[in-house]
Amino acid sequence: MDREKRQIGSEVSLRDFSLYFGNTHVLKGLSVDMPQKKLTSVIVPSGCGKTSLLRCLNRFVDFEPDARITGRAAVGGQDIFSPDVDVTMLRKKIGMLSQKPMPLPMSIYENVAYGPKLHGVGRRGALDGIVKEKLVLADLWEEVKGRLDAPAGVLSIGQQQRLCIARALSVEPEIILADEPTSALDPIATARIEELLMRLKKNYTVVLATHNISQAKKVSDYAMHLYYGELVEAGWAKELFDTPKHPRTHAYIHGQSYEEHAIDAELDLCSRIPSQSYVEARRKLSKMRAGQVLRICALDRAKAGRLATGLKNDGHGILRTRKIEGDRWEILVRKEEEDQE
Amino acid sequence: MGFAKLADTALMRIGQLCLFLMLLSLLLIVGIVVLRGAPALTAEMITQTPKGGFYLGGGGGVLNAIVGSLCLAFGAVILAMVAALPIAVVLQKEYSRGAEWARIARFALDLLWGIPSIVYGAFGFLLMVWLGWGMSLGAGIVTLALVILPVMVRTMEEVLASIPRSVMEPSFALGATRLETISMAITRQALPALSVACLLAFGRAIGDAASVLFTAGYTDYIPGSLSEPAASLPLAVFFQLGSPGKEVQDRAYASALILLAVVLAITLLARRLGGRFEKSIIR
Repeated sequence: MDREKRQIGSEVSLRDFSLYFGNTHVLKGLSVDMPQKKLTSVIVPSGCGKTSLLRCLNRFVDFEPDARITGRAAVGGQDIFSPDVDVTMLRKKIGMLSQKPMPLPMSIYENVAYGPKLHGVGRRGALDGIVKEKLVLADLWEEVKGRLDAPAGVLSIGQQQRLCIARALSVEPEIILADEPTSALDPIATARIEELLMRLKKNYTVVLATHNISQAKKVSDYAMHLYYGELVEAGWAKELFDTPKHPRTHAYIHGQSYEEHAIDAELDLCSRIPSQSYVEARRKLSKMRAGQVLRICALDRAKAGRLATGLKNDGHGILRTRKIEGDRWEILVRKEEEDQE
Repeated sequence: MGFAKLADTALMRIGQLCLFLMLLSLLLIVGIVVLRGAPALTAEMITQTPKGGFYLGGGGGVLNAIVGSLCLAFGAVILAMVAALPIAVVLQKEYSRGAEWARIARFALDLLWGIPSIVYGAFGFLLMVWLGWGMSLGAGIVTLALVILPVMVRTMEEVLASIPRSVMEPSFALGATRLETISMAITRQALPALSVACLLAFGRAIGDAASVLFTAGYTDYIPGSLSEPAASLPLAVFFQLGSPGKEVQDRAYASALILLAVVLAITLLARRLGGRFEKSIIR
């Protein structure tokens, strides 16, 4: 207990932090400091490593067999990936809210009492106190005080999310990771969660991953923008939202698309059979001028990889190969000088 | 209307026919047992142990076998459950991480499942001799537990594996270990399905004659301790059915009827208990 008390800080800092799943580079050399007792929002397009980042911070990446980490991630100055970290104590210190509220298969009371029981609170009186205190804090007490023994599954989804907040608070965490906690909720339930987050950030370090810009603007003190696992920009929320430095951030928060390579032609091969796709790509390129950029959409990583290798062998420049969404991959090819045919 | 539609209709009809045949045979089994057993099912049958000359048409009942069977089956289910749940947990991918030993263990369990129960009986008999036990309730329970262990582990394992990982995550996020998560949160979610697993095992245990033949033995008395031999309903059916008198054979059907009733009662009870936990399941 004493050892824990001495670690006062709860800021989260990353230094050249990378995450790989197998050969896929998911988070790319992030260096950022998320200030303590503030709300940091991570604004990311879907599928760009937001959940992965949060799952690194509470060591949920441990469950992924092919995950590999380089660099340093520290909470309150302590390296969370160092071998002498007690993962259960770390997770006690870091609460988590998921996209879809996930109550435990037990009553409302037991959901909140579960954590304290794990960590040795056994007396019914003490548990009653904690349950009430946390439900009040999560703004749910008035709605459930008469039916604490009802199964958590009967609550509305917004209530379930607030129950999850109460549950996360029940073990006295210092940090709360919220992974798009409102994406499954209606606007009214969303507003309540946002209010709650505003109140919580006075006492907890909150990291909120979201792709809802107006939400991020409303609640955050600090903000960082990730794009395909790379940190584009980080800074105090006001500056970042009012005067973003990077054009990509500017485009993202204003809902515009941003492309650093001007694209001259597009080719959708997602529905073609693979043997044709290379031929199609070459035919398309042969009609283009040198220096122009072709954007190809291809299905599945192996096919996209083969296609990229083939075009590279033809002498074209592969600017980028990356996953867009689901199983769709995107290849940017720049046509080179000499004609291939 | 073409071949595809015709094939579709034919398949549906075949399915319906098979279902009908199955229901018909179930009806026949129950019907025959009831028709022949019910007249012989007197209050004496379920409240008394066999009197002198019972197997030749004398007075008495099969209370010895009812009590013996319940003791054997419950004992075996409890013993097997104590062993099966940890095994099923350890086979989960959180623990085994897809290791080779887990694959081998599953294969071994599937093999054990297929071994006829008379072989378990023979094994139990050898074990008993080796340990210096006589034919006893204890030996019967141990042997029956071995018979039902494979089916129990495999069903429990499937049940636990079918639970979405997202149910586990909030528990891990609160700083629970794998053991705490599985024993406190997951088992709750799985309880109705786990009780079905136990029920299947119970059905097999109470109906098995071959494995208790040499291990629990047979006696006309109600067992007073684990070291005394115990009767069982399947063997009561077996012995009475082998008798030449029609009256005694009818009593065999009456015993079978009691066996059916016991299984039915246990099933209904388990359903009710399962239903109580069903409502807190997260879907």
